[in-house]
Parts: sequence; C-alpha cells; structure tokens
Amino acid sequence: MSRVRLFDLAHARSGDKGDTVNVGVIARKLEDYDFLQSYNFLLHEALDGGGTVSLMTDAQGKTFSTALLRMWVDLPE
Amino acid sequence: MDYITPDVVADFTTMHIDDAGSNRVKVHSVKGKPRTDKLKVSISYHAGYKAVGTLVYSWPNAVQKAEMAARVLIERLRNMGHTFDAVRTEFVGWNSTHGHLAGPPSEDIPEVELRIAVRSTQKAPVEAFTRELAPLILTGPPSVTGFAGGRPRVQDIVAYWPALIDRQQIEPHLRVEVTDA
Repeated sequence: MSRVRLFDLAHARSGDKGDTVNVGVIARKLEDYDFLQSYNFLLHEALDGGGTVSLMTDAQGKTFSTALLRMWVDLPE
Repeated sequence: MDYITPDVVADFTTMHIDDAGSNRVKVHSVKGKPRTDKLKVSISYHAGYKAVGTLVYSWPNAVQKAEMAARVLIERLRNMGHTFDAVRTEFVGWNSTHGHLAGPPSEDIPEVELRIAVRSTQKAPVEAFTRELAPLILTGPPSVTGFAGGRPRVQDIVAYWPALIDRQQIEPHLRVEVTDA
C-alpha cells in the first residue's frame, strides 16, 4: 500500500460565512474521482466567533483547505 | 439548490452554458423560484475590545522561549487582576494556520513569531495587555525582536449581525440628483 498526501490527488478551497468554515474538496483527475469523489464540509463555530470578533490569524478560514490537503492518504491497491 | 437573492431564488444547477462563437458564451435557461417575503439586514454592533501583540524569537529553542513569554505575560496580567473573555496564543511559522494539525515544531526551527490576542467587553484589561508586552522584551526570554512598531493598539470590535426582516416593513425609495460639475 502506498501513502500520498491528499494534495497530490485533490484540489480544495475554503472560506468563511460568519463563524462557519466551508471546505470544498474535489479529485483532480477523472480516474481518481471514483475513489475520492468530492465533498463540501461545513465546520460550525470553527472561527472563534468569526469576522471582526475572532482573534485568529486565519479568521476567514482560508487555510483550512490546505490543512485537509496535508493529510496522508493510503491508496487502495 | 436554492440560492436566495433579493429578487429571485435561483437554482444554479439548472444553468446551461453554450459556446456562442469566438470569446462568447451563452448562459440561459436557469430555473428559479419566486423571491422570498424577507429581506436581509446587515446590522453592526459594538462587541467589546481586542488587541493583538507579536514578538519574534530566534533559534535556539525559539518555540520554547515564545511559549514561556506567553505564559509569563498572561500570568502577570492575572496577578494584576485582569481577566479576559478570550486569550489566543499562536506561533507564526509553526501552528497559526493549521493549529494542532501542524504537529510538533521542528527542533531546529530558526525562528517563530509569538502572536497573542486578547478580547474583553471591558477596555481596561485590553489596555493593560498592550502595556505589558514591552516589559517582556527586557525581562523575558532572550533573542527577542520585532517590537519596533511600538505597543499594539486597542481595537473596538464592531461585530456583524445579519438578520431577516419582512419585506413589507421596507418602503424602497430611489432618488437621483444630477448636479452640474
């Protein structure tokens, strides 16, 4: 079994709506789509209040997508 | 899919896009539903105060020094009787974007920026925080820099409160004035 970073297989993008982060992720290539498909994750109360209230560097959740793409994935044979 | 706008509820999954010649596309046949009986109101309100302070620590043990500095700062403020609604400590160069998913920092990390942010409904503790950062430079862990900008400023938090209002409550007016330049 081989391990790759999700980044090698997928594209992702994230951003804020209030205190919620939206992370969209999709396989880069058609042949990977059956395995990975595409998802839209909603992370509620993930931004320390969000907007101007938040104390986070990334108060807009722009980098959440890259945290997801950094994960390791075990590929099926 | 319902994408609500003031004029119509659109379903963008029904959109057709056709090639209409060189550098032209035709977007057509988008299905939709009638607009809702609500309008969105963007309300802002005063939600307290915040301040953000940063200091840069260099190798060796950059992260450990920054962590110690943060502990000393917060404890000093607590000893002075100041409490906060939120205190956030980040280490730029290690975990400020990926949080705990960043994993442990490299032992040989050349530098890190300590970023501490505080929030309170009261102005006094936030002001005290901005004053207590400077003493840390002389009495805290060494090889610290990046403080030339002076003490951080206290920021008013103007928070956002989106809400819905009945459309009938709103009387739209449009007034155009043309004046000679």
